[in-house]
Amino acid sequence: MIINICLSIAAALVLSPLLGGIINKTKAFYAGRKGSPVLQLYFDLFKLFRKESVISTSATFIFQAAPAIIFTSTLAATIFVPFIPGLPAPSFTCDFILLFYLLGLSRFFLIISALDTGSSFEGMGASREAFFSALAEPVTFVTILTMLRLGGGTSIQAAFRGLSSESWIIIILTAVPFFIVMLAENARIPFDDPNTHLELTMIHEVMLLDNSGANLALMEWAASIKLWLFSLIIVKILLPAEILTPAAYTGLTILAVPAVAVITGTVESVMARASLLKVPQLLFSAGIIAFLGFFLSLNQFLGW
Amino acid sequence: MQHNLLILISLLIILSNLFLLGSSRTRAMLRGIAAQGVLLSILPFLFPMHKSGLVSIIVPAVLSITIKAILIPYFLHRVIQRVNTENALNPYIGYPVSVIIGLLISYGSFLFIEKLPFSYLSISPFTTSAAFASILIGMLIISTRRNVIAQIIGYLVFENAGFILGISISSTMPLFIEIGIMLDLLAGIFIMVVAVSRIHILFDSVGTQKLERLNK
Repeated sequence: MIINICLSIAAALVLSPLLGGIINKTKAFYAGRKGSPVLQLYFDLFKLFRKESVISTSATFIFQAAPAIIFTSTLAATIFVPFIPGLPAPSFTCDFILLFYLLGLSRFFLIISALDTGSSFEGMGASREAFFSALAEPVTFVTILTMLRLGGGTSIQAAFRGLSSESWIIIILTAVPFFIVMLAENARIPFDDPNTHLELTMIHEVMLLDNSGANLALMEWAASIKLWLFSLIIVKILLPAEILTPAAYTGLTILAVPAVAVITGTVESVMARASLLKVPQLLFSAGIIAFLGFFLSLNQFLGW
Repeated sequence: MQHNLLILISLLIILSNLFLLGSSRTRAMLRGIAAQGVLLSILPFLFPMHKSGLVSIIVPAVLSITIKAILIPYFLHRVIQRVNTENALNPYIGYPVSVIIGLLISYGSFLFIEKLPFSYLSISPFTTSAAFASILIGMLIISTRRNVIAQIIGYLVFENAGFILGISISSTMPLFIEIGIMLDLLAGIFIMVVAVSRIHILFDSVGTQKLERLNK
């Protein structure tokens, strides 16, 4: 189990900044640009870690503690989604609640650290983050519930086990809402534009405005680990484990997670950012699709 | 393969119903109903029970795509342009609530079909329950919307449900009956379009609340 935990954490730490680079490269490809290098986020993190942090005089200890808490709790959440099948993984009853509330803990500290700076601008971003994540959370839990219904267990491992190629319709009806939730939770384009700075409509970036140096690096790294975690869960939903050997499954996962990043980049290239009033509607429709999947999973038609 | 495609199409039909329930714009509703017409035209190819040959598969499909996906949306588009009805006419039940009701209706029709004694007769219980859900959702649209054009679209959803139900329960749907139904539908929409234009000229609105009192 220790090996698996170490592997999950190492993969999340090392590979996660790659995803942002792949998304940016995809967007550059669609725009006909050359784009920044795929490893750009690694360079940025390296640069930021060598710089010193400037902390506002009005900020309290919360602001200083938040980056470490955000980083560790996001990293801790990754151990529940193991990378390699077959090896024993940490799993207990209702561990998916711990997974998503570790992410919730990091979001809570992100929000209060943004409020702690006393900037009204960051407070606005914090308010939006709280609102949108409150809308996204039920969708997440309904998709997990659907998978648990098929898997017949109460842990996230059972949820992934329950999906097979026979229940492909449920797989679609969970993967699509979960993808929308991933875009919302990671502040990607229909919900938030990660490229904009100092714009009145941005959400995630505005909360990081007062961070600098190593603190900012930890926040950015935590954000990319979160993106990695959600992409990994989507891959786990889409790839049925039972028809592949563990080695092939691991290889396919390593290939498929960047593919999710490419799809995200494509979505960001073909869509404009939705207006803030449209965001609840988008999450509402994701919830409707998720509930349709849940209702179908309760049904006996297809013999599951 | 065929079974999976049937499931996919009935799911898309349910989703398009929910889209119709949730959209406030009549133009968006038109796109939704046209998409439903395209989905319906695929259905005859997936039911293997047509024994009388290729003609009885292709004719309903072609009729469905020309009438339901092209002609009727075109007429309705014309009448929307003429009466300019984009101004919001609030429905009796709000859009999010009616989507949730539609979702519960769809789930209820799945449960209902499971309990029905004849459900095993139909090739795919999935399409039958999609048809049942469409009937109820069509009624919901007709009864909750104030806009006459939205009500016409509700009627079309209702009619589509009849098509799906017929094709998924009866093993032999005579070709002439199908052609007759389609032509009736086309004539009905013609009359409705003319009526909507008249209503608009008379009342300067396409809301139904003004129709409640008699006009000289």
